Amino acid sequence: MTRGLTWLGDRRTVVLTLLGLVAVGLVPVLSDGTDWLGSWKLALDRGTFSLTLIGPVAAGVACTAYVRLATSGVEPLVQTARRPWWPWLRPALATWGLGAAAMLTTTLGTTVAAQAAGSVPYPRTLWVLLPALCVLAAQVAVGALLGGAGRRRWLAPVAAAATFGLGVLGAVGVVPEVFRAGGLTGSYAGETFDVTTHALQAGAALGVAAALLTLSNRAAVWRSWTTRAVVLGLVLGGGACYVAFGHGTHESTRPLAEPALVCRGHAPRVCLARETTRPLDDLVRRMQRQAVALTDLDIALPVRFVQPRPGTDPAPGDGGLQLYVEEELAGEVSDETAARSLATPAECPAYRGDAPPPEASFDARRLLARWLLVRAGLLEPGADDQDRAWLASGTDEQRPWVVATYDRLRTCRLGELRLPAGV
Amino acid sequence: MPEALSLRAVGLRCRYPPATADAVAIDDLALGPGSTGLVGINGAGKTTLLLTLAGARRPQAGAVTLDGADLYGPHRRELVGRIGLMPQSLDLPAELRVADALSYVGWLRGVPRRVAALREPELLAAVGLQPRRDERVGRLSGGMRRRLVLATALVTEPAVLLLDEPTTGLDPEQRAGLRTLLLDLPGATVTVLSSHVMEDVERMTSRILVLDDGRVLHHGETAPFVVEHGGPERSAELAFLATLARGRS
Repeated sequence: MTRGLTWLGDRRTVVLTLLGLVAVGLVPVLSDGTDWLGSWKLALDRGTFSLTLIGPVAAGVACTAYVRLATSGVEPLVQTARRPWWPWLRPALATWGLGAAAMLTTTLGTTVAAQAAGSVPYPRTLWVLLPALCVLAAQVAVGALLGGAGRRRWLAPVAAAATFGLGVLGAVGVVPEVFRAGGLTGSYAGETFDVTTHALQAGAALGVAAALLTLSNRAAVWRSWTTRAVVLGLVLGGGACYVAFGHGTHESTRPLAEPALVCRGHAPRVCLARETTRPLDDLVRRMQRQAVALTDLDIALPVRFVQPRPGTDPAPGDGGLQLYVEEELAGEVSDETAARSLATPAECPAYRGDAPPPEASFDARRLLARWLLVRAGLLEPGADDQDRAWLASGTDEQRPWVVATYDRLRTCRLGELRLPAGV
Repeated sequence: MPEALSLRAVGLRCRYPPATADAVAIDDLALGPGSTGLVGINGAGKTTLLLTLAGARRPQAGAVTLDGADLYGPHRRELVGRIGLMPQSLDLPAELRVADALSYVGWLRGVPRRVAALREPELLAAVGLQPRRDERVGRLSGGMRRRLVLATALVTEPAVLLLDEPTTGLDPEQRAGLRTLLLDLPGATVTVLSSHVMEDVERMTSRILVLDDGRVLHHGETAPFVVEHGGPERSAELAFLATLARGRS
């Protein structure tokens, strides 16, 4: 057995602990489905989110190891070691190593699965694992402190609960999110991880870890000038990060300056953010099927339909895609989504402005989308639908409204939009 | 002729804050070659003194020197490595094998892995645990565990050996066995043995140090101490009690 694992149990216990950590790590990863298969960055985020439970369990494991160490009578020998801080911190390091292995295994699983499902990998964003490992260090340090200073076995579940509670308090905004990793909503389309936010979190987490580990045994850790300098540096730096992290808004993600698009198809040409291309082929197929109704009326489609991306203004002439977040991540989209997208031939500024667009613009787009579905044979209007009569009328009757409406939508003359008579 | 090894404490004051009273207050104590029995009632300060002499507990005031060099000074690492400590209780993980336990303490004490591996057979043989080197610590009897702890104290090949209650918790047979073992130990030239089993002290030490309330009541040769203060029965226990009573009066 390696010396680092001495206080964690025999080999079998260590292997079982590792398997247990991986198992509990999968709970938060899979608790909300497998949407993350549609975005490699989201899969990476979900991998780090496994720390939501791996961290608390690791804190409990560390607490147990430190209770054993502190009550074994070995401490006088630790104090006479050449570097007393080293044998004292080894169980924490070993526990951290187990937790890190569990998190990395989970992350490897999510990212490989996402790639296999068709998501484009972004290996350059793997750096986000480093701040997550710093968060894990702080989580383990909670257990080390309670075990080393409290010296009671029943403190292990307390350490786990306290670590989990700190994560929850961070998530609800009571304290800075030092103990939280991953778990963001959204699809990461056109976005990436924000370096500053994660660096501040990592610094704060390391500061917390250094402070807690020092408090777990001041005589051993606060012994040499070197360790004092390292601890002081980490605590002061971490304190500064904590203060900066707690003030102002620090988003975990930021929009990409030049988000990449992947485009496919013709009439219409459809472009999705490179991060979320999983539903692209299905979306193109469904839009092409419905677009026939428009081209039959000699209506010119936009050059392309593009997925809106945060922080990026749509290019003139581009139509907008109207996907729900879950559809951005899924393998397939609905026909309604394809119709809604075709009924948005321009991403008008009014759609994103502070003041809502005219009510008629919603009604007109909704009717246009229903018309597309009916024409493609994908919708049968209900007996009580107000637009049933108009949808059942002939193309000659429908053509003037469809052509005029599409032109107004494409040129963003939303105030001129009207519903057909009788609808 | 080289000067004999000497472990010395001067102006020693040890406290456990927030308590303000000294747990150990010794003005001058020199421990030379040979074995010294450290006796006192529970709470007399024996363990605190031993830990301080071992370099495991920095005193609030005063100095501990080994051959004139400050144990808590700049050469602490080298000096501490020359002192072996057998703690009063050492519960090494039950799942460790005997050889691994010895190797672990060797690592703690800064003994290189290769050197520790070379010393292991000799040490285990010295404490009679060589046949059990692959056995788990949890399967050893109480006496065997104490012998293993003794082996761990010897892993640095110490010149000074500090033994804190080495026979506590052992039955008479185990105690006798360990006593024989301690008497036959090679190497260490300065041995301090803390115990409140006066029989152990009388049989195993040539000098005796009586500690009470952290202060030295008596420090001298064991045999004359028993003869002078042990009454007609020449009882070491009576000698200790008489010294205690005299010191407190």
